Amino acid sequence: MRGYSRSEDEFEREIRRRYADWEFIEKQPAKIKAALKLFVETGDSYKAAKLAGLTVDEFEEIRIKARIPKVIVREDV
Amino acid sequence: MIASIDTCFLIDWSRYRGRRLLEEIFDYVFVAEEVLGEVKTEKTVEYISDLLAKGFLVIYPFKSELLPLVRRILEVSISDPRIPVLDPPEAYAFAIAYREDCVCLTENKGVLRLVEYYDEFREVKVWRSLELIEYLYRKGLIRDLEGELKKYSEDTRHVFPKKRFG
Repeated sequence: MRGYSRSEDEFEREIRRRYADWEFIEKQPAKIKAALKLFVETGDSYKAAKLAGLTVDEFEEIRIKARIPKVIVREDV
Repeated sequence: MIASIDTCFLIDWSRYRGRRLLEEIFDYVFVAEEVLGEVKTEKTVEYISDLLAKGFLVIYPFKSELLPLVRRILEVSISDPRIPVLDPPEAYAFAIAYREDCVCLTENKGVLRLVEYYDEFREVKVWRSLELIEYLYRKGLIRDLEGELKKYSEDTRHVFPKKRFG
């Protein structure tokens, strides 16, 4: 089992989950819905786009409509 | 200064109202040709077309020479459970940066972990949008760092939370 998940990964995932428009996501066709959920869990646009059968550019348009952010953590030192 | 840019970063950057700033800090930017296949919307096509026409965006001409390095990068990311598996576009962007000793513009977690965990890749400079915008601020090309991050967030739906990890 892959073990790369670290505390910052979970922190980022939680923000994506919290900001996402779940009503919009649930209304999407099956592949798009699965791709948006994959993005929420991983933050990986390329894999999500390929799952949806879309280009990255097309997937990004949908991600923005679904209000799922890309999370860039600024380390507070 | 030269950079290599990955697919997702370039597509995000094309939506940013300050996208012209990329040309203020880099002499040119390498891109793998696969990126062009991931571009579809009018705004992104126009931006990339403009950069190609200016010769600022350069399709990397020595791609076949990167194959052993790309294979090594992908093998490491697949076999090391600490690293999210990379896909070829990010692997090529990183391989170009490694080989050309230039900045890699990416937000891919696998690339960030490769640099963190592997000495052979540690010298590669990897910038996310945050580091790029901070650099623009340090160079005086933007006046208000927080304001610019807010604009980038609005245009590309990024968030930049602060967090201390112990």
